[in-house]
Amino acid sequence: MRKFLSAFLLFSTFIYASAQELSISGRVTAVKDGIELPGVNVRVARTNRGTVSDAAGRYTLLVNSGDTILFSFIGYRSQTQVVGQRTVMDIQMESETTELDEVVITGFQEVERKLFTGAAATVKMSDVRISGQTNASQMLEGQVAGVTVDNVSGTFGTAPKVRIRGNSSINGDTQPLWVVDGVILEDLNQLTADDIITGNANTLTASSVAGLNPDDMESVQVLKDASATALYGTRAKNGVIVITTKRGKSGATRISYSGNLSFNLRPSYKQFDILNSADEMSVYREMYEKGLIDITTSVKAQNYGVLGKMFSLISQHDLNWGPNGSLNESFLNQYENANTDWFDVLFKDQSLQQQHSLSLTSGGEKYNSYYSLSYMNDNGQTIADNVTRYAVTAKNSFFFTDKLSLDVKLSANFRQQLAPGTQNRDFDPISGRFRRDFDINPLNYALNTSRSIRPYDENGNLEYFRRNYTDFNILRELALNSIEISVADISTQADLQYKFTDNLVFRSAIQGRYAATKREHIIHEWSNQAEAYRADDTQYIQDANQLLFVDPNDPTSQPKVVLPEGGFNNLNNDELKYFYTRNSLDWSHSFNSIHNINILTGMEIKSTDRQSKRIDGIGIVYENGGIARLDPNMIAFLNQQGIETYALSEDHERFAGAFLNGGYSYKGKYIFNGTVRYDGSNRLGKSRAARYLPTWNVSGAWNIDQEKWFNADWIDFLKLRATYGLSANLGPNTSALLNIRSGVTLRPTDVETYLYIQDLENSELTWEKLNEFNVGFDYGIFENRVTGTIDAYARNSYDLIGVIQTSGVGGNEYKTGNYANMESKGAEFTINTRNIQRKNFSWLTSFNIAYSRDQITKLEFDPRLADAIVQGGAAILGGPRRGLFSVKFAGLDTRGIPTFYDGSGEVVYNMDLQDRENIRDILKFEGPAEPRGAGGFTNIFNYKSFSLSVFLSYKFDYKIRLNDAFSPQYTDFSSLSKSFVNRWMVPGDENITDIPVILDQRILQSGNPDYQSAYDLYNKSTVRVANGDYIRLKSVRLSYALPNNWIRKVGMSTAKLSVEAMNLFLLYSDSRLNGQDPEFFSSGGVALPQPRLITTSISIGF
Amino acid sequence: MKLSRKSFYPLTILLMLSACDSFLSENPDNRVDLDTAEKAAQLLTSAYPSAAYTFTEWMADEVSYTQGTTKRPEHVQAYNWEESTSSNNQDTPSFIWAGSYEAIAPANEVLAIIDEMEGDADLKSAIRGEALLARAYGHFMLVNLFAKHYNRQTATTDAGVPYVEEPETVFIKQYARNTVAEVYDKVERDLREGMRLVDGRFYKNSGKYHFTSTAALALASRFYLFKGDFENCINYSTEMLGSNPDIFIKDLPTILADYTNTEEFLRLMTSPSDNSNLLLARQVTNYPINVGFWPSIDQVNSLYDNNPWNAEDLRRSNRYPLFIRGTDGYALAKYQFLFERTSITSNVGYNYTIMPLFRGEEVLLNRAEAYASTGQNSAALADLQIYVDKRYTEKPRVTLPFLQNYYRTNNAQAALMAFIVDERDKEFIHEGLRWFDIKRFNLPVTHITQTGASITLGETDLRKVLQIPQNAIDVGGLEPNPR
Repeated sequence: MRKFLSAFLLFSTFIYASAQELSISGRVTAVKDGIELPGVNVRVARTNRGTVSDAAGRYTLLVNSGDTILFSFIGYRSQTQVVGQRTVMDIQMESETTELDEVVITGFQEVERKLFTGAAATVKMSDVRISGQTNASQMLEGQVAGVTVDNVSGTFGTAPKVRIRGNSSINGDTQPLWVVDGVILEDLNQLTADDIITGNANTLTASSVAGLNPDDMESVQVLKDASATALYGTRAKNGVIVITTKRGKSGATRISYSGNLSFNLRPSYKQFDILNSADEMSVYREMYEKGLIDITTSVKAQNYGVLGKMFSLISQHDLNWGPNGSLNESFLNQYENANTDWFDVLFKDQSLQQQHSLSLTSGGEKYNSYYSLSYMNDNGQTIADNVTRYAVTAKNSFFFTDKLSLDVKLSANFRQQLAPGTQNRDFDPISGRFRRDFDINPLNYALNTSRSIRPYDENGNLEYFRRNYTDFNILRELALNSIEISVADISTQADLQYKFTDNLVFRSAIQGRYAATKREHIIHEWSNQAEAYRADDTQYIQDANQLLFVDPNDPTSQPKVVLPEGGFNNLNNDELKYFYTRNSLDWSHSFNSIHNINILTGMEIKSTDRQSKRIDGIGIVYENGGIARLDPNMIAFLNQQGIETYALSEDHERFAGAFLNGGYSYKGKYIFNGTVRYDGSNRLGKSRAARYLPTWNVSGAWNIDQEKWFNADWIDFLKLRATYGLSANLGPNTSALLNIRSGVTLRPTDVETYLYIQDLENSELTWEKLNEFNVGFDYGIFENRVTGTIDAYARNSYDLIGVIQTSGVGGNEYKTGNYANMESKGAEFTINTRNIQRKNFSWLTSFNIAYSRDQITKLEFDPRLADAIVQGGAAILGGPRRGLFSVKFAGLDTRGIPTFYDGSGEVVYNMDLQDRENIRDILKFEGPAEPRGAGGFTNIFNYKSFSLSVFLSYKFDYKIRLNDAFSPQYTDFSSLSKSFVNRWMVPGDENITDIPVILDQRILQSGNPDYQSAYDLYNKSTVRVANGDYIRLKSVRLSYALPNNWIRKVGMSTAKLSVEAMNLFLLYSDSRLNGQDPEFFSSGGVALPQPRLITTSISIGF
Repeated sequence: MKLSRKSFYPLTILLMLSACDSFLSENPDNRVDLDTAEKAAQLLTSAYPSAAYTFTEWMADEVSYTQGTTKRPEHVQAYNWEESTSSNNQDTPSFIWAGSYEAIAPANEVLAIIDEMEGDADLKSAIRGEALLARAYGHFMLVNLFAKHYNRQTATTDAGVPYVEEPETVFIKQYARNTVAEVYDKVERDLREGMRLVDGRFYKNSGKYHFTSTAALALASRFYLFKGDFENCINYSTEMLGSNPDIFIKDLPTILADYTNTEEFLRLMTSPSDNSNLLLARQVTNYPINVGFWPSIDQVNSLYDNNPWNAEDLRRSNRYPLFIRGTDGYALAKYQFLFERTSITSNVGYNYTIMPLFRGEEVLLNRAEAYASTGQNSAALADLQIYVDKRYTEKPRVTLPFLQNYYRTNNAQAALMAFIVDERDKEFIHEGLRWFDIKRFNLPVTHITQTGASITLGETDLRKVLQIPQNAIDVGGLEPNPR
């Protein structure tokens, strides 16, 4: 039949050709980029005469002069043209998919922006993509008003702390919901905002966004208010970020490549206030004179540097004293001028990072495809980290009939990463410090290690000093103590669409995903961390080393080594299984083009299963093929102290929801919208009462410019929006039903498995909720040369989950439940201007700023003093979600020791940090620990084919705790702050300086033990606080688009070159920070600052 | 049967809803469902308080102001009989309060469902017995710490503690204090039924970390003695001690002769294989380490050097290990020093020790006291002789003339009682039981403070009743004790 038809077509063409004289020809191109479109249907209307355009988009057709020609092509708007007297007719086809700025993609539906009633911002990936940045979530910093992105670590994989409109939960998750192509992107591991800043190894494998290839992304939509997020119901409280990935285009097969090469600039001592080695040595000499370092303390010291090494050599008779028993100056001289640049030793200068991305789109009338492959490799900022990521996506769309279409997507990514070995940090509530044993974080090491210590001796061999009672060299340790990470993430997705009629559409999406994460901490047998278990050289060390084992059956014996051979292999395996489906029905109808109605209804089901396993291998001898030698004493050592070497945790989430959304617009002027959703989840336990929650939202918009009476010519559009509604989120650690856990009893005898109550039943438990009122304007003036939005909102979060101390009578002294409330108010402002628009030159500016203030209005349980003074801050009634508190400094005493005011105004050296009472009297509230204001400022200059863009991001109104720099005892291992130059030296100095004295041995041993605590408190006092406000020169980019006529000669369709610098420097920050990055939490472990990158990139299309 | 179209839709919706409900019934994590008798038995392992009441030693009379120990504010508050301001530290009234109720909760969870569980009927009734005993024990110690001592005349009006008999199921629940009489009645009810049902055969290991019928009888012995029901005290004590009471008395002469080092001595003292240890518990406490207040050497000497015969007390012999606390405090070796670490590389963790909650010596001395109180002097003397044989080197004879002469009284009963109270003081030093005797016998206590001032806790001082923790007053709505 088909053969017959084409024969007929040919035949009829021939007939007409012989009958008519008029031949018309032309070229079909796309409006957007001028690319030729092959395969376009060119047909004489109401006839069967027609042709298709060739590979160059050209067509020729024989017509009558009065004919109307119809051009049609999948994905483009059909066009009709009357022939008239023309013989050449070039056609530009307009893409059918509306421009991104004109629609809002909520993940459930696409809504014309004019008719959208919520607060949402669209970001085109091509506008915000900072080449060199590898993680898509970091790119939003400063781009959207109301979205605060704190890049707390620059290590690949770490999720930034993203907050939309401040905070809506006190203890729960504040991260927004990520949605990719309509499906919720579950994190690999669930971390709270407070967990993100720990620097623990699990921060690298929590975020799923890190696996996405930024080049696959078309756009990002940020849904901010209750109306915009309404369809997400009980998961929407923190806002929603919707990513739309690129899809295939019908037409010629097109290949594009983009690649960039980045060079890393390493940090330098110029940025920080650290003494050079000569100055350090003079301080060490003072410590020697004060009796703080001598031969007896050195040989039993846990850590030592140059002086300790000298004493140690003297005691072993490998070195002589100086004349008359003085210091051996010739030995010390070689270190005095070492001035080791640890940044040079540990950080790579011009370390290469590369990203390559290749994509292909192709398609015809019945299908189109998008394929992409990407490779990212970062050699790492330091010698101890690197990462490689591969990502692949295949997306096929099939248009079976006009009614039925199907999208099939397969995407996978794989990552391999190396990070410095680290233990999880512990909080010591006595001193208020976080501890991380065996920390070898390169940045922390560079900042905290004495510059008189050398990595290599004069012969170029590794030189060892002491840490953990045994030999230590950072280069060797980083090589022998590392974490290897691999992540594999595969997902398949199908989207089906069936149009029953033009205004009734059924859509179905289904996704299955599997991700496996492995973190292997390799602690080689020769590493310091393993050797520390064998440090028993002298009686002193045997008595002091906590890692040796005192046999309770033989207590008079010497402490024993429990790790006679081998190191450790600590393995963490996380697995994610995810299934998601959504079915919806969309009906729209228009009455006389005046009343437009749209109704969307549907349901979704989500199931997430996570399993997390930890296995600690002990006594692993890597050199011998990884055999394990487990000493029986090690088992006794572990059992005695209740340490478990295996842990399994499971997490199962089941979620189901049904939704109904209705929209009505009158002449496109007045728009009303309403949504109800009913959700259920198993997270609250098996209790039916808590399981379900309805959420709702109403909103309206008024397109004022559409009114007849509105005649301000200079205003192109003006829309007023208002929203009120309820959204919710599951709180942290919630369980409505009795939660019983199992354990093994910790006793010397009678060991048995037992069960205990983790949480009692809480039949009243419910979701954390948020009522939000939002009002906003969208405006465009002066022929849309100035556009933007203004929003103001008030949010009332209630039923927030917090910990409360109960009467204890029920059996749980501390319970988590819904009892806290928080209010926040804020405003957002965005303006985009085209300042200059000439033929060859244009200057575009966009500016956004947002400010939000939150206040806890109900919270009955105060934190400990120790929790309130740390860098992350704490929640107390009347304060912001996280407020920073300080101990009130009362000056140095007459011996140079810091003193403080207690709650009653008395001057003290110490206070009980475990206390929860009178926190407001004892501590000074400094301000919020999280920025209240943030925004960005971008200027783009285009001249001919050149484009220069300068992007600043900034944050303001918050406080930062300075890093701990003072201690009752300093060793010759640790670096010293330059402020030591101004330290208290002689009585009277207390009137001119705040820098405390170096305590001498006499005071340390016989003085008030509170003097030691005074130094811990000093680090957390009012003098150790800085403003967090900063302006960062986030990126400067110069790009050049190669002229079309050049590139066509080599068969390319586009080619662009650019050079970009990222994170160059801070234009403004508090001088008290002394180089401390206000955004970065220097928590050690795997945390590294954001790199400074210079990137050159090229993108070409064929 | 043919379904009509009309009934089809509601049915589908119902089906979908119930499918949805079961879909949402998946456990969110690897929690344990309490669905078998074996699991109920495992849950009862946490029905024993991990909080210690040994801090009452700092309030009692065998301590002085020790120099050089760590003294947290709550330690000093105990020594000065001030109200504790600590909300959650070890060795405080609020810690034993929360810890005791934390142990009662699993018992109530088990009692609420044990009858409906699958499983062997004998096992189920044994579990029920253990749960009742754990609940009775927890409340009994609470009422004796946080209320006045049982007094037949005023018990029905004296405020006791809430007696919790069902699991808490709401977020914040309001409780009211039962009277002392009510608490005693409920303890007695649970104790009697528990004693009848409990069955030690079902315990693995030694069973010493669970209520056996022996431990239950020891609780009954203490309960009836405190209640002043001497007849029942004698009956239950006799049932427990059997015909050979001396096997339940720690054989100090042998232990002292045999032990090789202090650690071993400490292990023997709290070993489950020692018959004297009737019920053991793991307790999180800093008490065994260098904190708080301890007897001075004078106090130790005057306690153990004085006895009716001038005989050598084994507890003060050279072989008995004595620790120095601070610079001038002394502690008889009793507890192991154990430490729970949060991770292998961390120095953060908790001190804990193994504490005997009941010992055979107490049951024997309880019976002797009950005999003496009811005029059965010879029976009391016989019990005391069994005890004295294992505590004094020369095994001196316990006779009324000796005791009356020593205590300078003609009243035989008074002399017996004085001797029993003294021996309890010596036997249970550092174990916290002295505080209950101070309450029972209205003994005054005098402490010398850091400044040398002398402070006194009167015979019927209101401060002998620990104050209800602040959060239980504020959040739980309980009446505070009068001050």
